Amino acid sequence: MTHKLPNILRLSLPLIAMMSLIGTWELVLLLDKDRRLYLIPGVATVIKELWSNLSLYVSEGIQTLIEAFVGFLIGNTASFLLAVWMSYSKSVERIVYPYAIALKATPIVALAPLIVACFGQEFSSKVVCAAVISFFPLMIQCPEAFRRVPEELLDLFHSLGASEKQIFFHLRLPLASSQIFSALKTASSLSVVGALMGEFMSPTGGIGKLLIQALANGWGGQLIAATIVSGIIGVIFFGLIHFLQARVVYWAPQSF
Amino acid sequence: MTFPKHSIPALCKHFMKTESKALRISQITKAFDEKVLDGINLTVSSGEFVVLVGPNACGKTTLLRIIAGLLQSDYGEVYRENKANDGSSLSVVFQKPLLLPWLTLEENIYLPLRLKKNAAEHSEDLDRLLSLLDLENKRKSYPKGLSGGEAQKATIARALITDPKILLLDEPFSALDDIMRQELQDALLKIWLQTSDTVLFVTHDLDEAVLLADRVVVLSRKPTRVKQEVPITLGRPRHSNSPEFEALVLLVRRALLS
Repeated sequence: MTHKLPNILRLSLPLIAMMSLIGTWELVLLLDKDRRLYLIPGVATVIKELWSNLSLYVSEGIQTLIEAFVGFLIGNTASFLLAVWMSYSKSVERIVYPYAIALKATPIVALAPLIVACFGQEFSSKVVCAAVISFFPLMIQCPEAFRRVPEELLDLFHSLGASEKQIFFHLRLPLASSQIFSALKTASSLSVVGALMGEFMSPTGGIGKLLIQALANGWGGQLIAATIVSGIIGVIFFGLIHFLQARVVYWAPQSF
Repeated sequence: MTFPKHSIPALCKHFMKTESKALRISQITKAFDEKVLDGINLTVSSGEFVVLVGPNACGKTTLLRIIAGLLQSDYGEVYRENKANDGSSLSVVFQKPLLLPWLTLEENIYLPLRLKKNAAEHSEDLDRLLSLLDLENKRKSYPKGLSGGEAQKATIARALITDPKILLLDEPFSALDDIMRQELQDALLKIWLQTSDTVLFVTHDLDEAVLLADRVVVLSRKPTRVKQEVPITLGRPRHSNSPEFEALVLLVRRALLS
């Protein structure tokens, strides 16, 4: 049995969690007499760093967001088309699936240098990193979702003389849409990871560059500030997909 | 229990129906792990209301699916008058409502037309069906906002929107309570009397069979054959508490149990 929390408590819970996190953070620094965490500054320093260099964090953040978004679009378009093909052809699935799983099992950290070597130091290598890592959730979940249509609904469509193309667009695709969006949400977070990984390997710009720079120079304020911005990018992206899901799959119960 | 009086012109229209054969099923045989249908023969006249009854799992739904072209028989043939390639001459109402949750009631009813190229959506047809089925105030509702009875009414409207010549119904009211079932039986009879469609209706409820049918076809246990055909000679509207009605129910029951 679940109890519904009062509205005020429900809204204030995330705020309470954040305050607790900040409190713990400050407490740990206070107790760290030997300055082992010398690179980690206090909350006030991070806020000051973010505020004074806001335009830098915004412009680098937008660059990372664009790389992640373009990679997400390319990766998921390819993944969707392959998933449709696989859902109609078991032989294609048998051929593609083992290699796709092998590629998925290979850490992006190991793939990123190869991608940079192939696509250069600039924008395209980061996009490819984001595309490769965000390719898999949809490809793995979709073929089964397209196939898993109740027999009686197929009977209904066959009795109405529907073609396979109509069955796909009027039945399989809407039925699979909840799972598609769930895969897209996972892919959205992963594409930010991919873009950051590309930036680590070739730090010409973006939040990845700021992170590498901060670590190399011992700039604790920038390190934490860039980490927070990368988290915000992930949340914006995830929120965008969730917003779209609420509008496209309006008929299904929503969940995170 | 009384049933609504249908208009005299509608009844006249119904009794003046032609005797041409809308459907002829010849020697239909089907086996899965065991033989289910064993040479079923049945002829249905244009405008006739035929009800199929039989023991549980005797293959009534299998027979209906073969007639609808959803399943291949192992042997035998189904002949349909006015057979159209796109299936528009025949509509099926399934046991479950099977409404698409992302479409409104109106869009669900229009679905068969949207799947056909060049099929015009005439709003007057939809209005007539919604009025007949008392669904006018639900046309913009999604299926999750409909009761079981309303959902099943919508599936009947969806089956009728293409103006089919033959209507196949597979225990469409079995999941409904008595009041809703009676309401839908009345609505179906009203529509049938207006349209003169040929109806093949599967049920396990013998009262429902006698109430609706021109003829009840009783099927045997597996391997299933046509055991007996009982013509229902009562006029309409029928009263389930009349001695003639009860005698016919008893006759069908005896045929089923014999």
